[in-house]
Amino acid sequence: MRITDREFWTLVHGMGFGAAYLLAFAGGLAGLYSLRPELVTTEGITERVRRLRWGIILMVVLVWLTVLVGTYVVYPWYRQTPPPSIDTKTQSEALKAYPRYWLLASEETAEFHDFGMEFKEHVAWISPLLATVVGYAVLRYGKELANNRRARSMVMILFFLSFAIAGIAGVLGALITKAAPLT
Amino acid sequence: MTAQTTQAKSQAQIGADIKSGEGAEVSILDREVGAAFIASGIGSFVLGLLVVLTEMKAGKGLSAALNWVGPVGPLSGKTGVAVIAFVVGWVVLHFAFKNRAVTLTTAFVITLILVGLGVLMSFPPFFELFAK
Repeated sequence: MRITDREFWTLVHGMGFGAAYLLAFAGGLAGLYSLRPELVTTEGITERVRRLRWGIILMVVLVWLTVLVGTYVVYPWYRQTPPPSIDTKTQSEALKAYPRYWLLASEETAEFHDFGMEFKEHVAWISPLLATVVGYAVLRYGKELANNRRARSMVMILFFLSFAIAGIAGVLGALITKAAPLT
Repeated sequence: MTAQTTQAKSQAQIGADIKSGEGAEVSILDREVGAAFIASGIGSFVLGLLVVLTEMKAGKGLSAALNWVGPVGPLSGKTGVAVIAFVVGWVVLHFAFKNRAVTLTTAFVITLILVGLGVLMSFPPFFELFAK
């Protein structure tokens, strides 16, 4: 079993950092949801807030790494221009090394780029912005989140939005990779 | 001690509240977090706006100017400007809200609107309307 550098970094971006962020979301949301004085003792809140702080920091780092690796490592390979000797209007074996052009060479696959990548490459960057302010809110409010139901609800909503956007980008990325894998 | 008393006591310990434009008391924590919320909305909105502007025929110059990293193309500049807007917006609002702030609820609603617009403007069927 051998993988190329491009396949490795695509895995790191999607199945590494991205998937880890999406999986960790469930724990983060559960941690926020259960931060209630009627459910947990004072000592329990202290323990959970400490865990939540570290967990949120880790998730913020993961989502930023996801978009940075995706944009600055994987994306350039995806959008690389083929040499003039390769016909960009036909899905040939030679064109497969240039995923963006390979997808656009056929009406059947063009939407993977025109919709899939064009949406994913931009909207994904909103996820770390939201995750960062969620992390800030958790760090600043700390134990007060347990008593401040309104703030806690807002934090959970923004956290969910960050997850949903990352999820959409992840699904589109998986579909694009299936249609035109980076090798 | 009830949850409400605890909350009131912690707010008093943190510092003096200020009144928002709506006349409601806004704690220091709510001001700071509200500023952060809106900053994320600003970054999202700026990203979406740049996507629309670069899709327009008149946006070719802007697209070229946003080509900060060659292999990445204009995406590098669009996201770079969005992140800068996020950071600058956060700093500006953080200090601006020291003297006058909106309630956390208002900040949250503003954030949702800006993020919603950012997502909408990043949506290909929407921004392609401007390309045509």
